Parts: sequence; C-alpha cells; structure tokens
Amino acid sequence: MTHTHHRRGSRESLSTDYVLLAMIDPAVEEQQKYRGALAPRVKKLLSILGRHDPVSLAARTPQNRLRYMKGWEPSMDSGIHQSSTVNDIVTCEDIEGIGHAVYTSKQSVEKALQEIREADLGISIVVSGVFEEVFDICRRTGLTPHTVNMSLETWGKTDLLPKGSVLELCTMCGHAMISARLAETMISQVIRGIKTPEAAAVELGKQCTCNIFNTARGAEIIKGAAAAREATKS
Amino acid sequence: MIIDQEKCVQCETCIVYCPVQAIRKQEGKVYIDQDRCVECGACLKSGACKQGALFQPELEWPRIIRSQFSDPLVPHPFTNIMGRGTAEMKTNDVTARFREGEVGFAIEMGRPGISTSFQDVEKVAMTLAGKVMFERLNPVSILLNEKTGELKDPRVRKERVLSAIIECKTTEDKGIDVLHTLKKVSDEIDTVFTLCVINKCRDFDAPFRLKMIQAGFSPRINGKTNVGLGRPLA
Repeated sequence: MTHTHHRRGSRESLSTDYVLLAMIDPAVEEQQKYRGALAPRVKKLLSILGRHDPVSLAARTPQNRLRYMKGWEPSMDSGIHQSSTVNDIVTCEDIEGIGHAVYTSKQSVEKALQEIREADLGISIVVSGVFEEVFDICRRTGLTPHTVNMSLETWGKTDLLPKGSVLELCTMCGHAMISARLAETMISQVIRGIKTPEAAAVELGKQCTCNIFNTARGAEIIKGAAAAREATKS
Repeated sequence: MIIDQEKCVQCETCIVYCPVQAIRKQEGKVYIDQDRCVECGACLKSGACKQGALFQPELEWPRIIRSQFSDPLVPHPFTNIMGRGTAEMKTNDVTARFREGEVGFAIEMGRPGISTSFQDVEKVAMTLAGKVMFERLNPVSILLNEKTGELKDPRVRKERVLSAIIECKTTEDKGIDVLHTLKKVSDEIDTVFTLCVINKCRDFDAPFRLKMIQAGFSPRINGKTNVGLGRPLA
C-alpha cells in the first residue's frame, strides 16, 4: 500500500488523486489498545471511508482481500482478482488489516478526515497527494501535518523507464504489478474500440492487489493517450 | 514461475502481464526467462492463462528471496508484513522513528517496474555504509553487514527482485551529503532507484525540503503526509 508518493502526472491530474492509508504500528501496543479494542475502531474507520465516494476501497480479512474499485463489475473478475462492493467492506465482521481508500476530490478527503478526527480512533492516517492541497485540507480540518515523505523522482538508468501516460498509469501501483506492456495494450484496445477507457482502467487496476489504483484518473489518462495517438496518425 | 509446455497453447495472452518482460516467445514457444523472472506471480494472479499452464514451483534459498521481495501478497518472513519495507513514516506520529532534526531515506531499488539485482543493492548499500544508520527492521538490512553494507551471503548477489528498499536515516546537517553520495552511485548501477526523503514537519513545512532546494535538488509536488491522528502521540 505504500509508494503512493511516486505517482506521476501533471498537477491538474494529480489533483484528482488522493490516497488515504490507515495504519496501526505492530510494535506500539498502546496504539492497538487505544480507547479499547481495535476491531470496532477499524469498522468505524471503514464506514467513514466508504461514505465519501471513494473510487477504491480495500480491507483485509484472514482469508482474502476485499477490493472495491469504481467500474469493476463481477463479470470482469479474473484469476485471484475478485471484486467487492463498498457495502461488502463496511459491513464485513471479519476485518483483520487496516483499510485504505482512493478519492478523486479534495472535498471527499476533507469530509473523511474531519469525521476520522472527530471519532478519535487513534489510527495513524497518511494522505498521499499534492502537498499544497493536502496541507490545505489539514488547515481546514484543524489538523497539523506531522511528517512528510517527499519524492526526489527516479535516479540511475532512467532511459529504461516507460514514458508519458504509460508511466503515469504504471506508477499508480506502487509495487509495480502493472506492466508497461499491459498499459500499452489497454490504450491500443481503446483505440481499436475493443474496450472502453473505464474498462481498460479496471483491467490495469485489478493487477494492483493493494487496490490503490485510481480507476477514474486511469480512464482519463487512457482517454488522453488514445486521443493523442489518434491525432498523431491523422 | 514456469510454463508447462504440455499445457501451453502458445496463445501469448500472458506475455503482456509480466512487469519485467520475462515472458517471451522464441522458436514458436512461449517461455519464461528464469534470470529475468522476479517471481512476483503477476502472470499467474492475472488469470490470463486459461489452460493452467503457468506453474509456481517451490522456491529454495537464495531464489526464494525473489518472491519475498517481489510479490506483495507474500508476507516477508522477517517483518511478517505484506509490504516490502517497514511502516516508516506512516506511523511516525506514534513511533517517533524520525525525530526533529533527522532525515530518513528510502532508496527504492528497481522501482518503478525495472527490477534490480542484489549486486546493485549491495553497491548502493556499501556506498551509504558509515554515513547513515540502516533501519534494523527492514528486510534488506537483515541481509547486509551493517558496518560495510556488504551482503552477508554472497549467493544473494545474483538474485533479481522487482524492488528492494534500503531504509536509513541521518541528521539533517548530513542529509545533503547523503544525496550527493546517492547521485554519484546512481551513475554506477545497472538499474534505477526512486528516492524517498522523510522529514518531520514544522510550521506546515518540512525543514529539509528547503535545504534540498537550496542544494539543487527538486522534490516533487506530491508525496505522503502523516496527518498526526495516531494515538497516543509519541
């Protein structure tokens, strides 16, 4: 669920992309016990995350990962990638890990943080996004940024990296499970009318097993890439 | 990962799902380049092969390192968490792992999507040894001699992983020197690394951000912010 801070793209595009990660430190017992048992606090957190229109929401049970992504229908399931609904996640009684969510709007993040703050859950929250926007959200919700993780980009043999929109799509999975060739294939299938940009974005997002891919932003990037390639042809 | 040639129908569907382009077709046969394969399991998880021809054999030391560092669904045996690093700044509000005046670095070798050999990981670690404090809970650190940065088991050098994160910290006054050191070694590796810089906030900014800019480094506009909701605060 990490490495969300290396997402590439223009400021305009990144301003539609916020990842909210929740975590309890395994070594800090006091945090695990803060104001009672952890399970009801996690349940409360997921219900807050779920009601502010996330494009992705995920949580873990002892058996599997529950994954919601906007646009992901059960008919698109494949391999180990199985879709859940927001309701499946917020009503699950068997959550083991802590959840995370992706939002496209600053307002959604602001409302979610406001509610989490009021609920005083004691769970550490990290927001990935454009710093200026995230700090603005903090000001509006009465929060003080505690620590930041900044990106100094990629060093070394950078000519090996995919370019432009493909890199933007691939870096929406921090663990690099989305291959550049799959991203190219999805753009090509959109150009040929085999897939819609939304369905192509879901196919990419499915590979990100941590479920932090932003399908709405992904569809926009694919749409833009397809249009740019069509324009070059004509 | 291997392909069972008895079952494979050479449809080539799996090829695009491999993040490191290890699945290839040669002389009419689809096969997996075992040197290139990082055992991330992305191809198998995708469900691309309808014939059940993809097969994950049991891995032994040192090859098992590939899946431990590349497959986000395999808990690392040392940290027992699914991620490849630690909680780093995500729970800094309750752990105080990074205190005021300190700066943390996460050197994400092989990311995004290029992969790395442990020979290159060792090269970077040896350059940093003596200049930083390696994070003891990190899965790369346990493979290294803390004083020299050398791999304890030289057999690991040949192993290739999707990514390996070197986590370390130093004081703010020494941080810029570390960045210059990393800049130099980045020209000597056969891969890429993506660089994270962690700093505790003061007055809605990170003091080390300005130092980096003054020294000619350019942090990206987006990143991760721990918003200080973890309790009890350290």
